[in-house]
Amino acid sequence: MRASDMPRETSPLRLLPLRSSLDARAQPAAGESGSGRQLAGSLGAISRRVAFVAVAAFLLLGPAPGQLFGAHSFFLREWIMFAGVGVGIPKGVFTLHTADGAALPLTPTQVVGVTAYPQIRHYLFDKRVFEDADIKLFAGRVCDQAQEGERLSFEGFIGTRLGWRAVSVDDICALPDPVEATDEGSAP
Amino acid sequence: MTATDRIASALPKFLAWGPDFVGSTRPAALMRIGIALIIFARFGAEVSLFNATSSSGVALGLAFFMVATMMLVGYMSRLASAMTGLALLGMYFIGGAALAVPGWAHHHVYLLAIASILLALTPCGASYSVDRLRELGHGGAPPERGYLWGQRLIALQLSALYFWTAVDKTDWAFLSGQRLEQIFVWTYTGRALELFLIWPPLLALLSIIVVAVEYWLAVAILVPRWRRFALPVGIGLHGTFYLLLPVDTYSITAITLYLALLDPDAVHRFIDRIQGHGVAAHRL
Repeated sequence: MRASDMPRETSPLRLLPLRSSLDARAQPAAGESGSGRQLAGSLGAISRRVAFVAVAAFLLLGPAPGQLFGAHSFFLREWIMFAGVGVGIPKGVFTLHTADGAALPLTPTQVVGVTAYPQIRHYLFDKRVFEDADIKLFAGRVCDQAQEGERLSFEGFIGTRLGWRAVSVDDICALPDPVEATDEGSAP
Repeated sequence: MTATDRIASALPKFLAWGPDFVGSTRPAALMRIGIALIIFARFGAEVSLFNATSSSGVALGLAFFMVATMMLVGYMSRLASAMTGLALLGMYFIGGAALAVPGWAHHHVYLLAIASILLALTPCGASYSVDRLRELGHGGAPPERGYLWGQRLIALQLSALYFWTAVDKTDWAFLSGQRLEQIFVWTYTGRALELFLIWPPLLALLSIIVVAVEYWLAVAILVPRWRRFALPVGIGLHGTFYLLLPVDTYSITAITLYLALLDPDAVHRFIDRIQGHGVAAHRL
């Protein structure tokens, strides 16, 4: 019966060959009946097709709950490479106000005491700013060395997953000590 | 034509493309070797015995090197690929998530694990392997041919990767260039390419291009007539990532997996051609 001759109610699955070219080429082994081999081939084809659809659905739709609906699970990998990189990094100007009224501008890296931020690879930079109070941690080196009457301020932005967030802090060293914060990030 | 008729005509094509797909095993074997080498490069030093601080670390190192070596040389290839993938998944879930070992829960580790497991679903030991050598030694000449549904799944994994990473970037924060600027502030402040930060509109333009290319690649790598353009664009994208960002093994893994996008029989013929089979075979 040809496909076009089949009644409309017939399931499309009935049209499918259960043995593909490799199955068809296989010859029955000695002592094994042809029909047994055929049955094994059919079962193999069905299992392969079911497995293919199941794994494909997992690969294609696995990230959907987390990325579309916020239902995150460590077992359903989301593809959000570098989404956390740059989060907690300030962009702007720190100013050290001395006791005699002078204002000394400092870059964020000068405040941390580095020429460049550590490489991203393992997220091993513990001075990132997740809450406003964390900026005291970022500027801890300058606050520790500040003299009586000196004040450190910041005017600029902090990186968040939603973009730059404007931040203005008048006296960083007078902020309460930050609680330890972590961010898992989304590394390459 | 009714919906049932349409499904009835499309389903055999889908099956022939996916679960019943048959072809040369050479691309799968090359991926097996390539992925195993990348796994060695990524974890070899980290799980070596000289780095072990506990008996479980020694056990992990021994198991890792045993299964990864078997995968590389193609001894019990499918089992070795599956075991290597499971070892990496164990490192990803237990080491990365539970024990917070730096870097083990990253995207590139998951990609290596899932690629190894999907390779185990292909006859990746039918070419370029000790398995093949042993069969030849027993007088057989096993065909370099088999079901390649695992290879199709690798192609779908790449497509899903491009699609979902583009979805993640489809927001104002990324398309306006802010997130790329944040990445570059961290990466390039105080370094030679700090000039990237001089003109933020350029970062917005780059961001839009990246998202558009990733959405396009998600489809184009699966469409035969677009593939000849998609592959160079994809390799260019991954090459750019590799040069500009610390993506670790992610780029080279994705490029290696591009072998799953090629017609396996065409790869087979190409290898025959560059080796001079039929022209200079067996001549030294």
